[in-house]
Amino acid sequence: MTPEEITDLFLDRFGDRLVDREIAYGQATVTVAPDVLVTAARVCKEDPRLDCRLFDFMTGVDLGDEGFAVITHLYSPEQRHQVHLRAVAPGGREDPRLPSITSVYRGANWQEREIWDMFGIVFEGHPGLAPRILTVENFEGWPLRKDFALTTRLAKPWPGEKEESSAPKRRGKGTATEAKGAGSSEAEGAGSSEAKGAGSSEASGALASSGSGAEAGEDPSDRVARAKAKAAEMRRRKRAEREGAGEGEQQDDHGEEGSR
Amino acid sequence: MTQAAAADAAGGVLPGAPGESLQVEVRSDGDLQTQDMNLNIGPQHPATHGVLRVVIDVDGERIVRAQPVIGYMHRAFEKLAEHRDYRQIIALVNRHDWLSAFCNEVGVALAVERMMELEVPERAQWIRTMMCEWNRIMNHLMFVSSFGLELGAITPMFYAFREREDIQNLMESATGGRLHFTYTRGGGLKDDLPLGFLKASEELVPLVRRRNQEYRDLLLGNEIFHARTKGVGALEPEVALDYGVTGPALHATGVAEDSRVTEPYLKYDEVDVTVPVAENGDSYDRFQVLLDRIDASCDIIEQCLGNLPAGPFAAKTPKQVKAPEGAIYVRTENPLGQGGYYLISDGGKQPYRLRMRTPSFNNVQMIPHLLEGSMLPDMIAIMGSVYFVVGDVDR
Amino acid sequence: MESILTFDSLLFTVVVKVLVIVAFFLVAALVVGYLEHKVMGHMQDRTGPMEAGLGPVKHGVGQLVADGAKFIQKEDIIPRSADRWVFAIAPGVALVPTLMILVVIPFGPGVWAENLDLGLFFALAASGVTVIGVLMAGWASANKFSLMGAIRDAAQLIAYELPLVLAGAAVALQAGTLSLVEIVERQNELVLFDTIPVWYGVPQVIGFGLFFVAAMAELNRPPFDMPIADSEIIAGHMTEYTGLRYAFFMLSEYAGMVVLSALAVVLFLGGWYPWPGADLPDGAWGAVIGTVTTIAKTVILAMVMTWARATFPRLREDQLQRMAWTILIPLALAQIVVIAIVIVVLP
Repeated sequence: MTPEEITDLFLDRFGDRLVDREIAYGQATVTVAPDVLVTAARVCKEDPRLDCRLFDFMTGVDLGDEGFAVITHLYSPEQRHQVHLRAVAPGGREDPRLPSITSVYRGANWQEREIWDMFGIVFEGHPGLAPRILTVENFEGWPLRKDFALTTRLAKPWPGEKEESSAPKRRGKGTATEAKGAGSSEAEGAGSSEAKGAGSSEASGALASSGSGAEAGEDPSDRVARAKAKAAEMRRRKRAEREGAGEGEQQDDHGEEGSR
Repeated sequence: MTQAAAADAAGGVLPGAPGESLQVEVRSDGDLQTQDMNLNIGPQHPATHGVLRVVIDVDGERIVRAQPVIGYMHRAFEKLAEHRDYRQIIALVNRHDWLSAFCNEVGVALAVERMMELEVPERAQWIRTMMCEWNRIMNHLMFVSSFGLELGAITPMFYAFREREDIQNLMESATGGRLHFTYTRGGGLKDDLPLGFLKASEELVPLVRRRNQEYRDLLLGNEIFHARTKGVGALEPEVALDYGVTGPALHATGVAEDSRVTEPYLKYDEVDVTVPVAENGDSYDRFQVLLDRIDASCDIIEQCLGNLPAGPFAAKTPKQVKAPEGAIYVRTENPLGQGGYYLISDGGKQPYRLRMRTPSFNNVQMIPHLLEGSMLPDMIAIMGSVYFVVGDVDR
Repeated sequence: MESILTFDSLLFTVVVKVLVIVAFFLVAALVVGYLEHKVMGHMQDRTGPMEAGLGPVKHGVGQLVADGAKFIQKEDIIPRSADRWVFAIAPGVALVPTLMILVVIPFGPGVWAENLDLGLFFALAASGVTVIGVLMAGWASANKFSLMGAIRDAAQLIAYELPLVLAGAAVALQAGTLSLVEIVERQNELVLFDTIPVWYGVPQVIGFGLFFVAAMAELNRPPFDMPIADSEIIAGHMTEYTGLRYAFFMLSEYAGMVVLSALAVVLFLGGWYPWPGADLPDGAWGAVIGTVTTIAKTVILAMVMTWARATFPRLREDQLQRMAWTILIPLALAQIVVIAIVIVVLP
């Protein structure tokens, strides 16, 4: 079935209980009301037109103030089509709850446990969400919520992410909610990123050379010779690029980084 | 409180264990009262490929109940991914499943490229296809060797690592890495293939094929191997699909679902991809499928070598890689099964959410279904043939 | 014939015999262990130990000596909940029976410690004692894996001691004696159809196979190593052991290979005679040639055990038991019957 046919089928079947339907990149996403989620899952599995017998995965998404959505991906090995079944958990950020689809797909068991572990979404009818499946048993908080700050990032900004405009601002932030803002919106505001480009390429270069040297266990003199050859090659390439940039303007965005 | 402590406190009943609660069965045979023994396999145990823990109840040698406990290697990959830009994520994704590093980085790159509608040069796509297959062979050789080792045959380990070493050297010559390649970039590759790579590949493929036949002779031709694996841990196709089991474990049940064929990515629509399947879904079939997949990968590599065009190895990408707003799901056939990359972007240079669907997570979830009722030594044959990497389970 | 280790003073004789046996025991275990490392290494497309050497000789000949030195230095850990005394003496209990069997094994004409009339009986009885050490270790470790390993080992011993004893009994039947020395002598006199001189390994080829398989099972050698199956129950009864005590278990495994291989040589492969019907010179030369022959045959058998280890996966516990009770033991019984009839019918 084409994605359009799939969304139409859901429209026929669920009418106004179908909250939203969307097709992006040839993939159909249908959002159903939480009360028909289990029915919708069963339809996906048992309706011969859909026949989505392969349970793929489930994931939660933080929607900000709206709360959380859960997306279930289902696939039909025979018909080779897929359905993203989506439901927004009622209860907002405080008490998100959704019905469990473990009665339809056995594989949903651990996936729902993981979503509970990561987002705190409670699945009603699940045989047992606790103990926490991935984090430690006494872990507090819901790690994948956007208001859960990555503490290492608060203490020390990721060096590869250094932006001359936004970095100093971000360093001072301490509380969880502020960090959320910094993470999602301000980071984009970065203009040119000279420092960043240089920093990351240096870092990755160092990483690559140390990694290969240590693992290969080769003769150190070989390594030195190779590093020299590589440096010479890089110089040559840079020179070529500089000349190229001088001659024509064809290398806009790519040449910019090289010529610096 | 740890789960084990909780289980002890509740008299051997794992509280809230998913599916069913863990009951200690006490039965009486005549005058003799017997009690099942609660045995904790792992997280440090030679048979669990890392830090997977399985709490089992055994009645003599028979497993009454099994409960995998995961999370010992959880590294919050998905959280980290929300704080890295797309280029950095590529270095991140090849960590969790260290045996299929290249296939994983390609998956993420594909998701970003499809969202940005980036045109990846032909040469880069062919090289990626070939590298994926080399990575697949490397991965499978690892499991060929470890499965033999777990069944007590030590020799396949040393044999399989010869070829693995050769392939690792080959991959290292192109990527600079032996385990974590980080060879992919958004829009192409880090670098072109080095001189002599194609020749070395051409020489290595027949060698791998020939050696693969040796493993067939050594293991599949062995009476004890038959006795240990035939009919052990037979998985039904319906159950496999229900749990989302993919890869060799699914193919062994007769379902040839392979996204290289059903939803081709890279250049898989231009090469002949054979998906080896079996019928019974038992450990023997899973192992046979694994060996067949090595041959199938050799075929693909040869086709890639024949079709490799000249040209650039990377597209020109904007300095800031930013995926447009929206969501995309990309499926790839990773060595252990289907890898999925569900990328939600808010238009920024970091993903808003990147969900990795890893094959091992679903495969391990299914394991209790096979374990319960089988013998303790069968546990090894089952866990060794479902093929999982603990890092891939926990992420 | 008297043992060449016999002297006028009884005390001196005893001391010399004990020293010789212990020395041989240690050296043989080390040599066989080293050979196993090397032979298996080459079977597996690698070199085995190459570095540790004794003096100028390299190729890893000092590997096991170095291992021993390492084991001695290691901390001797006894788990808190273990039964301390039982835990401590278990490796010794497992080791001593192997030593005891050496007492009665003849290596050449006159080269033995003791020629018991009940030699075969003594050897087979002593070999069964090892399991007590294993059970002690398994129980005293207070570890479920150890316990499972010990119980598997006990079950295995019960199952495989029978074919071992029955195969030995068939030899005793044919030879008409239980003395190992006399078995060797009689064996060399056996002539088939009045023309072909053979050893007992030919008419009793089934018995030889049974004996060898059962010996491998009794030693927990692969493919019968489920009592110490590393991928299932870590190391069975040895799980909690470290240092010297662990080394004792390893030593008893390698020494066991030597002892049971030597026993198989004595029973089925003509002992110290280089070929069937051979005649050894009297005196020192005979003793030397005989000893070398026995040791060579023993090493070959031990290497066959190594070969099996490099080739086979491990059997499952129930398959192992089934194989013993439904195949090996009936075969062994049938063989005894056939041998007995043949002995009576043919003069």
